[in-house]
Amino acid sequence: MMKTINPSVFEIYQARPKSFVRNIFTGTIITFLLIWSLDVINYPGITESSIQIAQNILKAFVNPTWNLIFSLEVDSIPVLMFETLGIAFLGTLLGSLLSLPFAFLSSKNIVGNFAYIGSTIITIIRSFPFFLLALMFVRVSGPGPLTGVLTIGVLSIGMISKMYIEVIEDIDPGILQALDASGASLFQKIRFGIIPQLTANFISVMIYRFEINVKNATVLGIVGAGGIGFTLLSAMSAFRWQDASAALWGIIIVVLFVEYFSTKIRKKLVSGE
Amino acid sequence: MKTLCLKISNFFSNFREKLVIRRTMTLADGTEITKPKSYTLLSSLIILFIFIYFWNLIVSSFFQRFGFQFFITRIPNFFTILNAMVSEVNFSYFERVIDPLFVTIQISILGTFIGTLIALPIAFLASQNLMKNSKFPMMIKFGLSVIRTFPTLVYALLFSFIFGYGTFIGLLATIIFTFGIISKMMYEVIETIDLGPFIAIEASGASKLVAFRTSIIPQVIGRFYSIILYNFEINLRASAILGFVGAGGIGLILNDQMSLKEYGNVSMIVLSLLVVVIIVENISRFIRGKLS
Repeated sequence: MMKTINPSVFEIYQARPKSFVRNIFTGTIITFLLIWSLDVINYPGITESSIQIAQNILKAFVNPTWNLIFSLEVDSIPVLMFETLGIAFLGTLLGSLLSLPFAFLSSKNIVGNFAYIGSTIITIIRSFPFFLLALMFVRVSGPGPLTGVLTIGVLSIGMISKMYIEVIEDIDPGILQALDASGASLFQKIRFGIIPQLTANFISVMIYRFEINVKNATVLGIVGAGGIGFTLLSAMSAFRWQDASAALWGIIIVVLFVEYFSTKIRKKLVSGE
Repeated sequence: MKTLCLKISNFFSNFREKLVIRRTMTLADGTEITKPKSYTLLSSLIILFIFIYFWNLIVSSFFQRFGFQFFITRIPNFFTILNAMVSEVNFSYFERVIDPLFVTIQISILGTFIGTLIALPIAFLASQNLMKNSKFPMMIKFGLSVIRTFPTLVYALLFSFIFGYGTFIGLLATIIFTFGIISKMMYEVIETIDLGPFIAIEASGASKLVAFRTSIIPQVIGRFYSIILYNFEINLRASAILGFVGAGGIGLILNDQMSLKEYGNVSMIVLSLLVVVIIVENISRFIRGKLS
């Protein structure tokens, strides 16, 4: 077998990077970490009642309260899902507006080395627990969907500006030079050189974050910030599984719908068709 | 009836035609060029309409009920908690934070690991380019989408009714969440790979398994590592929320201290989580840099 291989190919194969030691090393570390983490599984065991509850949940899941799904009264699922969508929509708009200054002030190609100040603030916002933020806003706008909008808006700054920065740092300076050479004014350079390079990607980021925000908005209600979460939580804690599963179905349908269109639109924005 | 429908559809198509801008220009040498269709006006109008609708639904109705003045006067309330958090940072509370913090890290490690193990085969089965002429990938992708619709918290909430409170439900919720998101990211990577080497190795007489191991795995493994690391970060962040349904870890004490209004302790918890997240972020950035 060896003889049939061209000797130079064989030599190159022999000289391939050897990662044996490194693999053993990382393997040991990972095994150690896993063993260390194992004691987190304190399996509580399944009791009779928990099996009963699991059965009830599954039964209710295929047979939700249809009245809640197909009515348009005050606390019905469609109305609450519309509210959830509204929270996510307005929150995303607010967040993307607030992100603009953050993003431009922490892009390396605009402010140079000062960028790390902005990126530190962005990291802090990104890992700020969002229930804490919601509790802060509840003191301003009371329990209700507006609190949700404000929370989602501020919370979105982290990820949106991080992705904006990537877009801004990708700006092709060649286009600006070309505009310079053809005698464009500063305003024209911004209008025809910078904005067209940013808009498609910015909108794509906004839509992507909208998708995430819809999911976030579904649980915001648990702290009283509007949306479907409160109905879900109260139905669950009262063991009204059929109502809870109606809410879950609402979430599934709306989120799948949003995800489908968001993927479609983003594909069109980024690739042109 | 039919003509009415036709009229309505004509009206809308004309309307759409007017809203979709097409500009035609004539160059100096007489050639006509048409700009590609622009949907900007149409989509901005739609967005504006949605915006007005939701604005009325949420913001206007709030101001009508409580008044704008009410909102303005209460803005300083937002800063009372923030102020308490900054001015009363209780560093001595760190001793009490460290155990739950480790539990959180443990849940994230184990959850990411098990979630990845389940996701690996599913991701390969969900890739359209590997599973040619099969409806299988479509079905799996749809199933994964459904799994991903629920936030981690909802899963933890459901499990908490079955298993009671504790780290176990946090682990389960993390596993499911990781599974949903990692399989999606993985099949997206797999669908971009080059199948040429696989065919070539198979043509040289290797079995499918050997060809798979030597041509497909090396193409995806680096990206997979970075996906896993990224998910580990996400899980760490999510753990702060999981405590609200009693899923153990740092979220649990965060929830306790928040309801006790001990904002000095809260800020210590947030700070420790932030430090861990930043450390993990930097480690994974370092590893990802090495991998690529």
